[in-house]
Amino acid sequence: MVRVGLVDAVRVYWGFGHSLHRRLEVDADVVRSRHAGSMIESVMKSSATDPRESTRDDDPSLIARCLDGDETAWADLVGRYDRLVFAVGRRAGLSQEDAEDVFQVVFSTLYRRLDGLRDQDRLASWLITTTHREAIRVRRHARPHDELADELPATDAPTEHVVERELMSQTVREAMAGLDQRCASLLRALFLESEQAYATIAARLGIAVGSIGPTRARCLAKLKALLDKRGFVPADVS
Amino acid sequence: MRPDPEETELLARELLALGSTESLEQTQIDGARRQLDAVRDVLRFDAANAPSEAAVRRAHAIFRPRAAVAPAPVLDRLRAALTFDGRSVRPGFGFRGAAATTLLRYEAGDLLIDLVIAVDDEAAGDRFTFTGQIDGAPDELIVIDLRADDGIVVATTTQAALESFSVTVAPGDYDLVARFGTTELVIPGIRIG
Repeated sequence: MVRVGLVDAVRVYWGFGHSLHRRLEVDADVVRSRHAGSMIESVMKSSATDPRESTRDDDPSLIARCLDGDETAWADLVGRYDRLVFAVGRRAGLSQEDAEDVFQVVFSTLYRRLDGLRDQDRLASWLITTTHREAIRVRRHARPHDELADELPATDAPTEHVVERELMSQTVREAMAGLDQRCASLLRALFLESEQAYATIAARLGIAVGSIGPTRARCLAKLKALLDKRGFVPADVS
Repeated sequence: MRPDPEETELLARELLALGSTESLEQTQIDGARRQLDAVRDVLRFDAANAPSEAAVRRAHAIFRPRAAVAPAPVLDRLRAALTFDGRSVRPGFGFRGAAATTLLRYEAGDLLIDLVIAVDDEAAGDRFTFTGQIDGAPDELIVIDLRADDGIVVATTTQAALESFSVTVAPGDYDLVARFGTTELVIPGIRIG
C-alpha cells in the first residue's frame, strides 16, 4: 500500500515547498477505490447542472439588461471584469493609483458605449484593448521626459500575446466563479494560504480532515470541467 | 521543483477525474500540470493586485446617471464662476512640462472646484486628461457629466467625498454638470485643447 501525503504533494506540485503535514495524510489507494468511480459521475453531473452556471448571463444578455435599466446587470458586468481591467492596467506597469484611475475611465467608457458595442460576445477582448491603450497613454503622459518612456511599446494597442494571456486569465477567473463556495474556498486556500489556514478551512467547511483529499479531488475535477467548457488550453511555458 | 512521478500522476488523475485503473499518458499529466500552474498564477496575481473597494464602488455608481435620469429632481441649480485661469500664467523659464497642464479654479456658493487639464504630447494633442475635485459638497457621491456643445454627454464619472474625478476627452468646448442630492452644479464653457 502506498501512502501519499496529498497536501504535501499538492504543495510541492504547485510550489509551496516540502513541509510535512501528516495529519492530512490519507491513503491514496483508499481514496482511489472509494471515490474515483463515483466522483467522475458526480462531477460530470454537477458541472452540467451547477446553478451558478445555468443562471449566469452571457455578456450580450447583461448588456441588454443594462440598457433596459437593470442596475444589477451593470453590477454583474463590473464584478465579472473588475479583476481583468485592473490586472491589465497593473501588468502594463501602472501604480495602484493609476490603475484605479484607468479602471474608472474604462468602465465609464464601457457604460457610455454599451449600446454601440459591435461585437458584444468579445467584450473581454474589447476591455483588454481599451484598458491597455489607456494604461500606456497614462504612462506616456506621466513620464513624458522619463527614460522609461523609451521602454514603452511603439503602439498603445496590446500585442496578440498580451490579449491571449489576459483572456486565459479571465477564463480562470470565470471558472473559479462557477465553482460552489465550498470548492472555491478550498481551492483558494490550497493555492494561496498557509498550511495552517488550509487545515483551518477544513474545519470551517465542516468536513473531516480525512475528507480533504476526496473533496479536493472533486473540486479539482469540477474546475477542470469548467475550464474545459471554456476551451482553456494554457501554453507550455516551462 | 517537480513532484515525483507518482504524486504527479495522482494529481493529474484528480484533475482529470480519472479512476485508478485507467491509463494516463505523460501528455495528459503535462497538460494537467500546465492548467494547475496557470490557475495558481492567476489566483496569486489577483490576490496581490486587487482594485480597492472604493474603486469598485465608483464603477458600480457609474450606472446611476442613466438609471436615475427621471427621478432625480433638481431643486437647486448653481452656476460656477471662473476665479483663476492657469492659461494666463506663463510657466517659468526652464519648466518645459508646465505648459502641458492647465489649472482652472471655479467657485459657486460654498463650493470650490479645481480642474486640471493635462495635454498628452505623445498623443499629438488629440487626447486630454481632465481631472477635478469639487470641495464643499455634502458627503455623498457626486455624478459628473461632461457635455459637448451640442448637449451630448461625452463622459460620465463620479467623485466620492474627499476624492477627485478624472476623465479622458478629445479637444473641444464642454460644460461640466455635477449632481449631488437635489443640487445641480454647472460649469459652462470649459475649453479643452
